Amino acid sequence: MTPCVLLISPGIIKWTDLDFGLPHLVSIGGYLLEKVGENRVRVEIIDLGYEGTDHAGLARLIRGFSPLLCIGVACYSSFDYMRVMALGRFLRRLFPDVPLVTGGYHASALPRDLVFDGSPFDAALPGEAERSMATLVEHLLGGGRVETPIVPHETIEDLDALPLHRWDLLRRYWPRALDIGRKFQLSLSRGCPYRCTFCMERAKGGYTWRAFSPTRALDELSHLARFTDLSAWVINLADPLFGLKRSWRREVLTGIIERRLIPRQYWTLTRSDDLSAEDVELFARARFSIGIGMESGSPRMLDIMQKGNKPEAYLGALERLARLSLQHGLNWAANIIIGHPGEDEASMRETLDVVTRLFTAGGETCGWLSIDPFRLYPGALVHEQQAEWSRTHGARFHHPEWWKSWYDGSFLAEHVDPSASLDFEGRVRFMYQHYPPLVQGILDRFRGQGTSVDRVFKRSLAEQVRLMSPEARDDLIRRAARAKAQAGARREPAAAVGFPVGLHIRDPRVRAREAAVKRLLEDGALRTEAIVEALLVVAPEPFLGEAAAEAMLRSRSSEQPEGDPPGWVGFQALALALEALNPGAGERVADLLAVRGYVAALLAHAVGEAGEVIALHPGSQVTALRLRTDLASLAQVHVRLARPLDPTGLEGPLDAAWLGAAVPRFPKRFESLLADPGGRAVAFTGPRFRPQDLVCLTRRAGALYERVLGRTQVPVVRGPGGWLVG
Amino acid sequence: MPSVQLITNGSHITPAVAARFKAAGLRSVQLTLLSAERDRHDALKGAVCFDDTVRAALDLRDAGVPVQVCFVAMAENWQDFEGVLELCYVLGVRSVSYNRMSPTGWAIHQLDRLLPLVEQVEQNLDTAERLGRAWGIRVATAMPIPPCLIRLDRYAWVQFGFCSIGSSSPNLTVDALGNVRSCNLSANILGNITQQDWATIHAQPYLHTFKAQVPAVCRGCAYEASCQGGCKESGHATFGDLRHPEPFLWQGLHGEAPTPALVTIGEPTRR
Repeated sequence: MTPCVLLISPGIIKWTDLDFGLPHLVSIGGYLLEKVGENRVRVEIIDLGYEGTDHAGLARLIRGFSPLLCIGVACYSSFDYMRVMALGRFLRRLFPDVPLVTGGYHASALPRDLVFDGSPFDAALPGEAERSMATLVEHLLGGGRVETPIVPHETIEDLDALPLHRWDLLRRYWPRALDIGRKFQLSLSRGCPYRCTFCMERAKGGYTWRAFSPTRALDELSHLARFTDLSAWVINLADPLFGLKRSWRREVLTGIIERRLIPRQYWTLTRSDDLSAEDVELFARARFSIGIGMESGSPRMLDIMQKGNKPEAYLGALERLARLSLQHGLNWAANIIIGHPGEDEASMRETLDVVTRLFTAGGETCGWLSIDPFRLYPGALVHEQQAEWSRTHGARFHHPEWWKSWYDGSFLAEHVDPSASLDFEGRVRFMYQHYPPLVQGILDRFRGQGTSVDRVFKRSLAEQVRLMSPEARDDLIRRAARAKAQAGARREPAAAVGFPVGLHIRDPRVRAREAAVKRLLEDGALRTEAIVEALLVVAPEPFLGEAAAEAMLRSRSSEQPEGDPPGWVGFQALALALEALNPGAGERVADLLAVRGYVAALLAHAVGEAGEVIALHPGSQVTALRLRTDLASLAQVHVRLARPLDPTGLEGPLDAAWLGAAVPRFPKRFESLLADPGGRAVAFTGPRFRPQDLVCLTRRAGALYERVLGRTQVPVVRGPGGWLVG
Repeated sequence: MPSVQLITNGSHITPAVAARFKAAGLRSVQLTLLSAERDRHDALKGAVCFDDTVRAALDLRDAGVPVQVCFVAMAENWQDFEGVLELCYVLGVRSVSYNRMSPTGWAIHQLDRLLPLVEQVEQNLDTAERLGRAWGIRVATAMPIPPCLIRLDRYAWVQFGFCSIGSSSPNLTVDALGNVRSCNLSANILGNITQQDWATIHAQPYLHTFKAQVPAVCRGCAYEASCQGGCKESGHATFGDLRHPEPFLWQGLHGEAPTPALVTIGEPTRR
């Protein structure tokens, strides 16, 4: 059978922004099929943002593509980094002999982040990977192995040399496309000649602007129109800079109008300094909305950002666009960045004045404002020259490798003091004080196209107002204070997770579970792959119910009359406990207070089918029957009815035991059931009315040795050896 | 007397007195140190006695009389405990009695100032465990610390004591007038040894029903018999009821100092 090259997109965490299409992978796939030959290689694409599966389904899906010649995983954005590494380890474990490679923006900027001793990846393919991937595939087909860990970058100068996008490569999961997104992604050009300091585009395509010829660009759109009804989609022309050349731009826009290649809406990023009335009219007639990287209203900051050498003319062009757009009905957005290194209060005020004038000078506006904090992106000039920015402007980058954190990447990326006179808090306070009323004013004046797309624009504006609430501001400032307080403290690197995270991300329950796990990974509370896997795989909702599961994941403990065995304990304590218990494959373990069965299910996952979990259920015959039903799919779990804290009928030795309630001290009657040596028990011991110690007890030579794992408060339990007796 | 311990601020101890104590076979002399800083100690004691106390410790040590230092932890001085331990080490004192303040008398109207928080006592116990063990200073608590508020197992170096009233070795107190109380904190006079025989005094029901009277929250607790809810005399002094949670326990349950239910007659004056 023809070997398969599998290309995987990890999907994006902010799933509401999902675009359909993966043009970068489709382009690589199409190039492979043309250059290597469809008789010699197959190409499959998996978009984890759309597949909606779990890890077992993913493993089955990939095995179905066998024989595998090579797997490529896109590390497109730095926000994907940790998930790509986890996915890489998962794939390496499943397919130890299949070459595993990666590419994308992050891999282009920092290939050594992905390929190093102990990495699951054999190679990184920086830049545009069509040619390098084809060379690699030929080499593998010839019996070779991956020999170069960082494959040299080959830019495609003539995009027309690429085959038409093979959208049929998406056919397998195409039926799901419209389930989520209405936005389809496609690029008609690559590269950008400008050297904006904050942009990572240079890492991928250098500084040369290259485009399909106008004819080919229109053919690409016609080709897509044959594949899907364009009118159902917002087409995101994800070019770094759409239509750099005026003649090209006009020819393409005219062609779109003439060939009636009109979708619900086109969306793209371009510049305003070259837009005449004719261009604005063409954009409007071709049903475009355009985004303009305005970035700042301060000439000094525009100069710092390398946005051109005539900042005044640049700002004037925006004012002209604002006027012309009203005449022709073109919707546009100005993107500004607040807090770029070098920013100070004066420059923030200048920008505020300019955008206020731009959007509120007239009665109505066709434009809207998109406000972003400065974020540190690998591959950008600022990232490469952090020391210089610190020396010149006093900027401080608090998290220079933020993408190596499991949690809160969005905050960590923006946690920057822009200059010696403006710190993070000052930037946040300014932004959150001045921009919400302005954005609300723009929303009140906004004139759309009279179509359903207007709702998208208005929702975007309203969302910005909502996101810049006083509560969100205070939360950011708190997080910054906490991060500063922790600065300098020695932190272990985040655990090397080998389990895919971010699958089935549309399910809010999965998102909540993964968020809780990522938070604990980041805190260092979770370290062991098998435990992480169990916590990701076993859904708490079937055992606890929706509300209780949500509370548990937020690390709250259950509430019930004092003395009743608690239904659950907080997620953080549970994770710490499982890490300490370290239940291994084939072990015999016990949940000594299995009220709902969630922990028993987690333990069952950890010990596997060769192990045994004894769940002592402190309830009635009826609730025990229900629990047996809930756990019926786990043959290794044996539910036994028992009085709380009563080990009668339980036989040792136990490799591990979990007691999920507070007791004055670990009950002696359970001690002798622990295996000697090495039996472990985890329990909450200590006060009845205040936080207890979460302790791990290990039995050796008849004695128990205690290790305190943390302190938290969980409910106490009534029973022999419990806080309440009788 | 098989065993005698003397409690004093040390003002009248000289080398000669210390030598007499030694010859008399005193088990130990207990000196109170509320701070290792002279001014703070004197201010908290209400008397200029820090230097006397330190000198007495040295004289007693030289005479070979065992010295125990008593530290009363209050909201105002709990942070001084580490300094007191350090001073004990320097003075050669190897035994410390740690007593968290338990209000009775006029003190019940000064709870905000005097009553230490549970967290503060816990930090003191951490210090006792760490430094006591490192420096070989035994630390014992006489004032009950309820295990429902602090995990006592955490402090293997510290010896915890509970209320002795009703036990086989009660801490009965006889004052200068002959009045007998169940302990030195108790406001309840059981009798007077100048007027009654001991059997009559000891037959007072107060002593024999004391143990059975515990706060409702303590009923059914694993420590009901041993802890009894902490210092019930303090609960009696503050709320007029032995079965009311005493101030330290009350504070642990509610997170704030209680408001006393009793009015003590007159502000105490120094004579």
